[in-house]
Amino acid sequence: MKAATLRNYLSVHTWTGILAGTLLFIAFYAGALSMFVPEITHWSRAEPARNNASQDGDALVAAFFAAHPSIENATLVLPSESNTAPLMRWGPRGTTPQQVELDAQGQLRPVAAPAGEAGRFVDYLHRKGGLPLALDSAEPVIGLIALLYALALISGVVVLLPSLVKDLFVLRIGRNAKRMWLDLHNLLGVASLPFHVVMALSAAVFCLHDWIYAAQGTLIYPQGLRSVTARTQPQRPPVTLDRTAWRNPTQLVRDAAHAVPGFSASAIEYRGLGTPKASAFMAGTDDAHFKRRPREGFAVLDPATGALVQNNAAPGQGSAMARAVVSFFALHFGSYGGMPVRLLYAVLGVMGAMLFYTGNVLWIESRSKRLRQRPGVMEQPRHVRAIAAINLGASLGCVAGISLALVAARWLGATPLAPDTVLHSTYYATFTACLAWALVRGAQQATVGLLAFAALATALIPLTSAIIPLVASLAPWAQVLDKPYTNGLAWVDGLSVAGAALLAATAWITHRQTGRHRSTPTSQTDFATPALN
Amino acid sequence: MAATKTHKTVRQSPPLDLLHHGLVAALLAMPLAIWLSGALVYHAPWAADSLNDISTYQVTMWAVPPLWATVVSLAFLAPSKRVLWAALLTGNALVWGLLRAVQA
Repeated sequence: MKAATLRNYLSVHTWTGILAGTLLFIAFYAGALSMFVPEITHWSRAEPARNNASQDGDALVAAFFAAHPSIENATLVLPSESNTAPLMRWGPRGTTPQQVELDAQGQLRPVAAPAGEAGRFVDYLHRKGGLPLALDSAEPVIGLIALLYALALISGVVVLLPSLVKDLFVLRIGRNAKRMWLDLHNLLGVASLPFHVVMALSAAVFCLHDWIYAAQGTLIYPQGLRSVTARTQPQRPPVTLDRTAWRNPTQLVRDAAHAVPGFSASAIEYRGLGTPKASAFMAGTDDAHFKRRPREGFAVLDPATGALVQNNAAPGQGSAMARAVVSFFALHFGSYGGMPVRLLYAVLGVMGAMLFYTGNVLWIESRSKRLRQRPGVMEQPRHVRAIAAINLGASLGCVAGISLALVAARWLGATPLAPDTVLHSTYYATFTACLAWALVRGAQQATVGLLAFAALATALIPLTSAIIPLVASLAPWAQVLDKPYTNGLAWVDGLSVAGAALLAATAWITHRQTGRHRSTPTSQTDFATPALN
Repeated sequence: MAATKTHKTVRQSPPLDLLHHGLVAALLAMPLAIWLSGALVYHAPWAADSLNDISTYQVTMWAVPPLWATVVSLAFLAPSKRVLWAALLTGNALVWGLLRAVQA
């Protein structure tokens, strides 16, 4: 390939990377954590005691239908590690739902619904790249960022191709900082390239699908998109309105397991209640197949007969096209293979965040190095210093902000403060403070402090788990914060210990390196950009 | 040789050229990718049996971003603005023709 062509692709890679890098760091770090959304929610919220709640889901649904005949949509949530007894949930999307359970006497009684979910907060940070906007406004921005990211990946591979074999497994740690960052960036990028290709393209679809459908409706479907979707509606006989003649939840769960082998139900959402089109959207897991959502696939059943009426989102079912669509979702969500794949995705997500951090550092190093060669230039220009500070402050601000938000939500769970307010204000206050600190002090001076702060904030998660049972036994107000220790909580604490240890070790190494180079002026040191890896 | 090289670097401004290449390609790759998605997936002969399948038009939508990214990436091989415009406009015309042909 011509040198000029390579140079052009390097420019494309550099500019797409620097434009998208910081938002992508946040999207990837929060995305890595979003592999544990239910566990994070369970960890951080105060959960009401469900004393003497009935385990009879069939009776619960029957009592609910009798008490609320005019509600159109309602979901039966089956018992799980984070839900000790079946409950019925309903309410408009985007509002705090209402919930009921059955008491030991078979009477419906309300269950306080959580006003905010920390897992969902982390997932939204991931989907918005941390932008403080409504999801609808942030998604097109992230969609365009994802397209830039796709271009950065392709151009990066083109640039690396000529020296791929020579450079790939070489990590030259030494006095040439740029060389070291480049080796690390290449290794991270190539090692996880398929993962990144999947993420870039699927994220673009998730954020821009409305626009793409609209354009396709005009350009490739002569009668418009609506005519295309209309012909795909499954035809089925009307469902009887007499709900007492319907299959009960236990029977529906059995019907689904029969129609979809390996399917293990976790919730049944009744849709279209009171209409002849009523259906039971059953969410369930099956780790042997790709799933449409992060944890679940769906089997749609006729609630009266238990017949499977739609299988295109059921794990391992459906046409070749349906399986292709489900695989696109599952490859983004890591929803196959269970916990080992979730852990792998979390590691790949953090590696992705590091890829963007190292990419930004390379941009800073290249400019610093170029300027250092000019006579009379003693320090980095203002825009390079600003990018370095933003890269550092936003990255570590995101890490520390998420950790502190979870800890604050857990400790303030017993107060009247809305959990969503606690999560948002703690995250954005921490993020802004870290960013401001990096900008005021400069990346060089702020690194060790911010790393140590992020390590401490993350260590507060397992410390909270350790301290709350002690406090709960002493102070009555803290009793609602305590909960039985489950596997899910152990994952949150265990991964936080690992994260805090990694951050603390990096802070220590960076501190020693900075000490060694302190005698050298900033503009001349080869470690002008502090190590953060 | 070295002198020529330096001369070229000074006279060309690659970032500006690349910005033009990038923006034009990003814009013109959109209809191209959408027509191509229709020609290769929904209206393609191999999808004729699955037009009532809810997933077929979804796969057609999923095909757009990879096609778009491929076209934009290839656009940086165009050695000049004129070649870039010519290639993208011809590409759009050809793909539109292909879509019309498979739809017929």
